[in-house]
Amino acid sequence: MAPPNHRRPGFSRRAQYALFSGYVVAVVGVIAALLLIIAAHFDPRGFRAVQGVASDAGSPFMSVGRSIARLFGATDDVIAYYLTAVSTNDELKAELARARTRLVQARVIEAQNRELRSLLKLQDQRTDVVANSRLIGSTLADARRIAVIAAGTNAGVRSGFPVRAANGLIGRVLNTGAFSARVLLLTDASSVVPIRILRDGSPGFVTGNGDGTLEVRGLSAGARTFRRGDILVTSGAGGLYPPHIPVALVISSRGDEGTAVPIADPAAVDYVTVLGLYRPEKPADEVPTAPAQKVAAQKATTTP
Amino acid sequence: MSRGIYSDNERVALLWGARITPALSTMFGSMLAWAPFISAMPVMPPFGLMVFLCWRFLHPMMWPIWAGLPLGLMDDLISGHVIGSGMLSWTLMLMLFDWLEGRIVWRDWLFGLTMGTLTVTVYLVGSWMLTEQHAYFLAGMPQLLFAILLYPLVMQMCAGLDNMRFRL
Repeated sequence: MAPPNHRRPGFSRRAQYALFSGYVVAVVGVIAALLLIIAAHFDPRGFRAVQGVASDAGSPFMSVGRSIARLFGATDDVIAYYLTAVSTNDELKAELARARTRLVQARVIEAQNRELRSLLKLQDQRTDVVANSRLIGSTLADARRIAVIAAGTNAGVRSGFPVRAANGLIGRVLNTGAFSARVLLLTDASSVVPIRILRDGSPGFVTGNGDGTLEVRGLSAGARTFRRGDILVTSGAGGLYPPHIPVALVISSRGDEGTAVPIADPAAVDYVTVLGLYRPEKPADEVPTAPAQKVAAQKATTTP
Repeated sequence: MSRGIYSDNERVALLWGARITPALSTMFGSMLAWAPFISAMPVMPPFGLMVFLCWRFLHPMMWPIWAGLPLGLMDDLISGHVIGSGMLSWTLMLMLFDWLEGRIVWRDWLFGLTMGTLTVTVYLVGSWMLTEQHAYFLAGMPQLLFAILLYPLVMQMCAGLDNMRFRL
């Protein structure tokens, strides 16, 4: 049918004014929204209080739903376990035998490491655990990759804090509510993590691609830095992320760039740990170390 | 009052259930983003926007022109978009459709379906580009596909709610 022209309310003054004021409100609202977007662009943390309240409001739904989802996921697994019980058992036994020998080796290395560290007078920098929490959801409709955890300012979580799972880094806290917080995942395009290759210690950094993979770049230009299968750990450079947390596994490389996948999969992880901000110690006692640093600097300039 | 199809029957339009059902269903659509799944890619279609659009094409005059402001703000807060982006885009959409409908001769369900699908597509692609995710075209395809395929279903559900809401 032909569209009836409703927006023209006839001769009623009252109706005309109502329509006009509606448009005024809409236009003012559009301008206000534009200002909000611009403000958020220049000060991304400006609205974290509001966003914290919003994530608090959603967190009960998420955590209840997540429990239900886990219940169903668990029954799924149990059926699969019965079907593969024998072969899994054999595999696990073989794995256990291999793991035992490796464990003994690891213990020896650990003891040796401790000795060497005490010889070098290295201080263990422990980053304090702020909170342990459940990962309860993620932004499903938004293009940014953000997860929600069930701990907020009440548990001492502040924005910027790194978040890790048992097997690797998850991301860092973006904004907090009273009892929930949003976590920017590694896979988001705006996440940048300084890393080292575990194999040779060469530095680089990792950014998200937005599709579940990460892009990794080396800091030494030209060299073929990354190999398939390389494990990347945080370097602790620049503070924020504590060192030695596993981050990603390289799956392909092109020169000094590469593609990696995160080691800790947020979809498979239930519990995460929020860590305090990592602040590398300043090179204390300038007097004895200054000459050594000079020598090192000279060496660095003479051997390019 | 310019209440569109209700102008000839104001008594019906003043029914409480009938008036808040569209807004509530839109907010419920936004809240589906609270589903407890964690995924590496965006997979959930923008249900809030889809319900909003379906009501718009069902009753072109039902939403006041500023309706996108509060509903868009709700959607921004719930789904974690940049605050203001939903307010802006939803209101601009309403204005655009009003302008468009003055120019076309015929309006039927097919117009609502094509315009709705097109709008959701533009909205999603735009949001990927604005958030600068590098691999957005590949990563966002499932979400876009779900949205396009589910749009007629949302349309049906809105029509069903439309029949029901006067009995609430």
